[in-house]
Amino acid sequence: MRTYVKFTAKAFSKQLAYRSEVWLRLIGNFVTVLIQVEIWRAVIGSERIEGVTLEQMITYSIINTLLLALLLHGISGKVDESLKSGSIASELIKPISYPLFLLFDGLGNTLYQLVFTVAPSLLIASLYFGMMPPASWTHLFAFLLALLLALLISFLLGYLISLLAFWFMNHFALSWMLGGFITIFSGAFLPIWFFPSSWITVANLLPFQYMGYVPAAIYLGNITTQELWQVIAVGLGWIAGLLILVQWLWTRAVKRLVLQGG
Amino acid sequence: MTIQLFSKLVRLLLKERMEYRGDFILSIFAQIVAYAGDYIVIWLFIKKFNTIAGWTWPEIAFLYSLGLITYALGASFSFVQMRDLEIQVKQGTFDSILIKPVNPYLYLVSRGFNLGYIAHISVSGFVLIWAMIELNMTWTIGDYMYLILAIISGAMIQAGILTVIGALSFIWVRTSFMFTLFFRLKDFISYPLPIFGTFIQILLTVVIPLAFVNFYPASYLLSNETTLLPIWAKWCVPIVGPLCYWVGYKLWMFGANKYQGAGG
Repeated sequence: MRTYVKFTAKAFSKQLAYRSEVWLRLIGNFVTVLIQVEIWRAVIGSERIEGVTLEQMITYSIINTLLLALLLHGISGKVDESLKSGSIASELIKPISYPLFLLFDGLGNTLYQLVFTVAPSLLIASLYFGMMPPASWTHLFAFLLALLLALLISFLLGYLISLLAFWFMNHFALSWMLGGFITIFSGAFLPIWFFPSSWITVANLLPFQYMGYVPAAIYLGNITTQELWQVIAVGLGWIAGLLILVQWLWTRAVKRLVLQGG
Repeated sequence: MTIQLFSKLVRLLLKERMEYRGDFILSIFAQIVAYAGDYIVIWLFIKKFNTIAGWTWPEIAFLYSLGLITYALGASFSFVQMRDLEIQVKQGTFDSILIKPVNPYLYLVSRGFNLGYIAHISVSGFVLIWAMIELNMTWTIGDYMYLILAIISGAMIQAGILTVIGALSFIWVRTSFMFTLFFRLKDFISYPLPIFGTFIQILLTVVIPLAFVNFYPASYLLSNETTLLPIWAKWCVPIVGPLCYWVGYKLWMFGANKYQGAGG
């Protein structure tokens, strides 16, 4: 375990080299929140739509914009790189678990983003746009849990793509496709409560809502205390399912890798 | 870099892509799925709220497609070339471009001409035509000509801005986050400009003229409110693009002349 924590620390300090880009990232986050706030201001104004106020949508947009910075993005790119250069062979020889290395390495970046971009962005956004407090202590606790679920699901989906790339040899195409589904069904821009009912059914059958809608809706209290634990449990179920799937694919992918040689 | 040389290059690039036909088709399909996602989110949004600032779904689809098709046309001559420039400068491989007996800018952009944007162009072209049919416009030949000029000019605006960012890699070593910032700013023009405050409207009209890519031409063609500019400003649309591209080119050439070689 201590070894893996070191990977996190190393990835964190690697990112520190790019500290000078922090202000660009802050502007980027501000712009994204601003666009969404203005859109909601244009359609909601001072009314309530489906019981949702502008203030709530502002908080929803801030949470989702900042959550996006924390999710683990680069997994498939990283695997693809070592697959193409052949360095994956030396990764596999090391007496460590390759997927766990990827996870902890990714978390180093998440930690960096949290400290250097998300925290200051949160401060700026709450001062400029106004941010609502969490619905209750229970909701805050569940929100933090949901954040962890979001990180793990984003990692597992990225890792799944990188394993599928052992067969398709094109992780870009797979990531693009996954991205299309995430755009719609994560609810990161348009919350799922504004979807038509048939689309809500589909969104609920997919894991993507855990990467946007679920944490924000929990924070705002739009998911009631009774439903809360059920939602978290389903998220854990998705993680378990994805874990089994990637584990199975991994054993097959490694065999395939041998066939290709180095 | 003559037209003849360029068409020969495109044939070679096409051959190169077709070497891995399945892979190329998979990539195109994937990008179509990704952009369908963007369209669907906006469609779901308008299904719920009917309009954004008075713009209906086909009008927003027209606006968004105009932004996407000009991006694809402009970026095929600039984005990857400019994004990868920082690596070439860092590793010193940029030197090899300077010793070729052609203009280094023309060589770089045409050698890197990106056929991958065919997916963007097909999706946005399809939706653009669908929106025009849906809106049932009574357009004159002049309006169609104006649309074509607007597309060319819009592509030049996008390529011009990307070229300016590329030119920065001669000064700063890392530019990748500037590109990310550009894409964030580009999100502004997916929606009608008047929903944003005056400051943003001025910023996108004067400083980073992205509003001329799609908002102004679409407003004039669809007779929608523009708030900031008067009706005669319609004729700025075909001029802003070439101007923006010229500035990008000049800055890039200035940077390339200053280039000393960072790698070794």
